[in-house]
Amino acid sequence: MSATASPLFVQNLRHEGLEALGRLGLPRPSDEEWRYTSVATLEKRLPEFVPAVARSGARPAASEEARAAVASLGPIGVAGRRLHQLVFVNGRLDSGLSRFDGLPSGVRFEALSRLFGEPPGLLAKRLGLLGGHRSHPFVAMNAAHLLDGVFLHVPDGVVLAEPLLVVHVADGSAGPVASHPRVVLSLGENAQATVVEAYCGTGEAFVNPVTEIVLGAHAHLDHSTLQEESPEAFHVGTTEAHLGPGAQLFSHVLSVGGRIARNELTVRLHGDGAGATLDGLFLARGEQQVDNHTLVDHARPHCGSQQYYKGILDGSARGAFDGKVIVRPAGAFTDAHQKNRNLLLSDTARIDAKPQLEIYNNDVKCTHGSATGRLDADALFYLRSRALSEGQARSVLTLAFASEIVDRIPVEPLRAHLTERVLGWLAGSPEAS
Amino acid sequence: MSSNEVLSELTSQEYRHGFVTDVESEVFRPGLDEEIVAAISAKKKEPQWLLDWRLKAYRHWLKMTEPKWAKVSYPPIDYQAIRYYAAPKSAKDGPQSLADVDPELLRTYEKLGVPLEERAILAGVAVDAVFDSVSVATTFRESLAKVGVIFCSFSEAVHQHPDLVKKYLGSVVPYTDNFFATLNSAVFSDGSFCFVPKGVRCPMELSTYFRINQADTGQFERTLIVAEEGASVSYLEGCTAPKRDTNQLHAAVVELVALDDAKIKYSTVQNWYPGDKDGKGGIYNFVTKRGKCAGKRSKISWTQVETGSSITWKYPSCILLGDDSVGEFYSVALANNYQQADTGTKMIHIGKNTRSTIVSKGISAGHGQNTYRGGVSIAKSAIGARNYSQCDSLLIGDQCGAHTFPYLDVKTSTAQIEHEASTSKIGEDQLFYCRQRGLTNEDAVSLIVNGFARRVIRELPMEFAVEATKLLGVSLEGSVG
Repeated sequence: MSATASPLFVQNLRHEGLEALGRLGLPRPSDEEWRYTSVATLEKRLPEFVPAVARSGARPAASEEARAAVASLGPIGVAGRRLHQLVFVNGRLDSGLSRFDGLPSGVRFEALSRLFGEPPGLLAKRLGLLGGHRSHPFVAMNAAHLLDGVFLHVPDGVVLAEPLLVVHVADGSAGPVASHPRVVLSLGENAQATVVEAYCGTGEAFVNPVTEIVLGAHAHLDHSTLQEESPEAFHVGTTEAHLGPGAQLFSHVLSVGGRIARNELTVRLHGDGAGATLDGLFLARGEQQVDNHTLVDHARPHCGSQQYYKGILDGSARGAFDGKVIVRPAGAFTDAHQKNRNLLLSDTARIDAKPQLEIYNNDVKCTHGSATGRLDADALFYLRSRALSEGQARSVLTLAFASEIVDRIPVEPLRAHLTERVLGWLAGSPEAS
Repeated sequence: MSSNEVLSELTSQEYRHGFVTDVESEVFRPGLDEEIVAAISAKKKEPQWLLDWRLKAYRHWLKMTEPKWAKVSYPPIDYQAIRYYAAPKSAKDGPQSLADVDPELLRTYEKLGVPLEERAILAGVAVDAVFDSVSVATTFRESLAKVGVIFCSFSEAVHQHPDLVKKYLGSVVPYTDNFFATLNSAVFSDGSFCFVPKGVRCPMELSTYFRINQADTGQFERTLIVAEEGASVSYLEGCTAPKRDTNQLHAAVVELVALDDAKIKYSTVQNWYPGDKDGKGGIYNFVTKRGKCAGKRSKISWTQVETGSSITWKYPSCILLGDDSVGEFYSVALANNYQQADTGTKMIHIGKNTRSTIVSKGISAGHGQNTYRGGVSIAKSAIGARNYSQCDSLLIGDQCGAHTFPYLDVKTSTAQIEHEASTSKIGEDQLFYCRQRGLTNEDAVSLIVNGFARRVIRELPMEFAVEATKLLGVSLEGSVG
């Protein structure tokens, strides 16, 4: 449990994180990148959130509520028992719920804590490779508190047909709890994998996950993040991906839960011909706040990126989409597109959209578009005239709006689960699944 | 001629209006303190309330810091090295007619193409020409006065229409607004004042030419245009400046007020000295322009063609306060050589059924950096608000940059907001098509660039549209290979 049991490279990472956090401090509201995230609200509460290990001093067992939260993931959760999965409760591996045997040889899909005992190998090279812990306050905080997480390595040429599942349960039933999980995904040349990260939980929690993705030449990763934590949770998730030549990343960021949720995704296209497709869907109601950030960095020629983020906001919820595409001087023949659509279901909901382009090369095709509105009155009238109730008509149209993102998720159980989720959300009960 | 030769020839064209008039100026010592502020005020024989207002602004300015968020870089400005007042000496006695005006000045205007005397009548334009901070001549005042339109220099307005000035000065851009606007509020030298009374449609396009002449003299104009109920006015602003090596600061403030059913159209062609091809010299253009649609069904329209200045920091904005009011922003911004432009608009929707349109066309060439920064903010009260924004960028050459930073803040579900942007270079196929039809490379590029900017250019009054088309052509013809 103590830091001394960890290998040197982990201790170094913690120290660097701690040093950087002290140097950087938490972001201020005047910080352009953080203007839509209420860091102040989080900062006030932060001291209350303690890592579960610090409180109990022992490996915590998942409470009934936490198990129920996992069960609510339905077909993609433990109930299915079909997928290879790692389940973490408050940031620590729950081996009883996890299943990770029977993968092709050479594939590593392991809890970080179980690897710390082994001689430093690829993990030592990959962990913290993208360096966010030196410049990003919350990544630094994650590094400083690093205890456990996931390491996936798929060797060159290996194609994993089955999706891998990582479940993070934030169990705040015994008081406010903090967790800082770290997920490291590394794919070799021509390797392929599908990974689903699901965040669920109960009670008050602060979840500060960091996902690092490194894709070798022509590797192919489909990565979904499903965030449906409790309405009292604070979620600050940071994902950074580094793509080699010809590598392809498909990202799906699906955000439903949390009191304040921030999903930050940085994709660096550092190899010729790399491509990324970033999809996002966020639903928020009541007093929820959800803030989506994307940064796609076109550093090499012939890269492509497509972003499509959709938001549905009800009640007094506040949503944001802050996306940026940078085309560096070397990024000739870039083809980058960014789309954002937002649906406001109430007069008190609020959306801030900031789709940005920063372009330093002339031979590019870049577009972005953002639109915000409410349900089309004509479409509503059409459905009403076909004898659907007002509520039904609104549900049909809203589901159709969300489906554009949901339907592009390749993992069937996740797609089904999410459709259920959206329907349950529309029925007015965010807890219904 | 190869396209590279064409490119270097055309992008290295010398600034055509780079001449200097030798007029003995009365200048203040460089530096800024309360004494200078009071001296400017005294020089203009201003009433006490205006001096107090200037001093309030100055004291507030001391507490402010220069904004750093814009995507431009320049060496720090020494505000104590700037002279805050310079007046042509001949203006002291006040010229009674054109014959009294220093002939050298008149020749300068002639070179600039300012239509004074008969030329002015032929052109049908009333000119309130500002030369180094003091209005030298104003034409057409009488014919405007007949319909009740007041169009005069700001200093005159302070003396002759103090109630109007007092009522509207700072009502759109308060003296606390931002660093440069506050500086302007403290030291503004002169500018134009226009008041169009109830129900009057201004019979001619109003125009003013600003010129910065004295080396190291920052120029701080202040323009105030008020259109009362049902009034309408179209105002043109055109700028050229002589060639100088030291950077010159220009921090103007423009305030527009439109009451019920009033319409104001404000057009700008800005062609100040952009610096030489190595980025040396040039004007810093840090301008605050804002219009308030205070009345119902009022409309404010901004059109700008920005080709000059080494740095442009300018966001003509509309506060759409009255129900059913309309805001428009049409812009062409061009950044060549080492020019930097950070420009855009802000549409603030407050009233019901307010509408706004933003069309921004950015052209970057050489090492130019062109940024569109725009805000659309829809308040909860702006039921049924509508916004459409389009921002396109054209890149010419591989050293330049084009950036788009839109901010869309929507607080009501009844609003409909659309933003679209694209960035690309001149299409090879378009060029090929034109070349194949016998057009030279430079004609083809000129055609394509003007087509690209057409949606904005056609919003300009005719005389300006001609000038703007010429400007774009001169700056960019053939600068692509």
